[in-house]
Amino acid sequence: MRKYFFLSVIGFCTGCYYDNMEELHPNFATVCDTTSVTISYHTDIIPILTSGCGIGDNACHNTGNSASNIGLETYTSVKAQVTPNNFFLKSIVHDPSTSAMPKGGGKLDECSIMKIESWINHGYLNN
Amino acid sequence: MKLKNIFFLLLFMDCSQIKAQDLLSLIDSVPVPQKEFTAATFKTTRLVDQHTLETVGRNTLDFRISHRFGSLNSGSLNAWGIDGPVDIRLGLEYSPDGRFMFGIGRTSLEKVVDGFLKFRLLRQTTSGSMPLSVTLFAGAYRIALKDNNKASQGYDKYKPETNRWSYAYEIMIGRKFTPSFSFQVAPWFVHYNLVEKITDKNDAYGVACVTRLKFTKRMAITFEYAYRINDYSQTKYYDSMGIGWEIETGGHVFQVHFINSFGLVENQFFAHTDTKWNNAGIRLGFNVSRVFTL
Repeated sequence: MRKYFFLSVIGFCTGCYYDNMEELHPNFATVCDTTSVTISYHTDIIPILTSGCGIGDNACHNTGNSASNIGLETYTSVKAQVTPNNFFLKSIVHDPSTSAMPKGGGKLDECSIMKIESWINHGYLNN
Repeated sequence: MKLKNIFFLLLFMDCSQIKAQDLLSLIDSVPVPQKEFTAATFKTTRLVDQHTLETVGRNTLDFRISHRFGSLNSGSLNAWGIDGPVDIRLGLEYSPDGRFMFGIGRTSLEKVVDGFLKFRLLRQTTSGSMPLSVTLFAGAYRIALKDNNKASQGYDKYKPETNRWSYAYEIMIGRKFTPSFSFQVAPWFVHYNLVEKITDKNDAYGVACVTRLKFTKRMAITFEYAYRINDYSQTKYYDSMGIGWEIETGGHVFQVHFINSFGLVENQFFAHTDTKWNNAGIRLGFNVSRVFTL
């Protein structure tokens, strides 16, 4: 039994890699530049909402979806989730006072969260 | 004369053979003292989140349900975390000989599927000839999430497959000091194949301790802490700490506890605990264990 244990551990070790997103995908850092670039609602935020937050055909956050009851399809509806309590950001950073989003999965990627945070901090404009 | 000598020689040999047989049977009848191992240093294979040095018994299957609620500081509207979000792990764990153990499980947070191996290298004896127990642990974890941002960012975070994997190792050293008090210390090491930033390290390590204090025949108070040694990320993480109450009822063991970690497997709670005790970032949780002898 001891032999099998040690052989299995050696098997575990052979699967080890030392990777990070910034080196694997060099555009990861530039795409995520939220300090020198103004984040645009139309260019940056809508694609994140479409791919990560369920807006589009029959998706969770379409207006009128009874499961979520929160629409995120229009600028006005997104803004309503930012003011006054900023539930929008709190839910995607998994703040315990809100329901963690996306539902049942992990967080959005770091870059998307940073973009949304930057957009909100700069006045959540319809730009 | 010669014949007489041979006769006596044969008689003597025969008698000596009888004597030798008597001595051998006498030795066989003397009980050889058996090495007796200290039983139940901990009641089950987990304390709160962490593994204990225990393995399940020979040919025993352990079905485990672990559950964590949302954090207490989510307020009364969220029933102090009871409304969620919740994290659940279902696990099946088995030992063929009571010493080597393996198990699989599935955790809802990050949709992690895990497998682990455990081996009791040394076992404490009641005579004191072995004062400590030492158990080796190795676990592998696969995140089964989909990359929701694949289309917008132009790549899949989880390609190649190895990006999904992380591993954990522990050496658990412990002792049952009295029938009601046990303590274990365990150096731990976690490896992540993929981390986010270039400044993040793929390896995290530290030292964990778990302890159990029995106060009735069937109940105990438990405590665990996992200290992180190296600076592996700029993201703010905290040491995992849990306090629990353990109740044994026949084949079941119930564990109810408060802990700041939301994750239920080693790659989550050792290095990625992101809430802390001092602003009530703790949560109610429970483990249920049911063993079946096969």
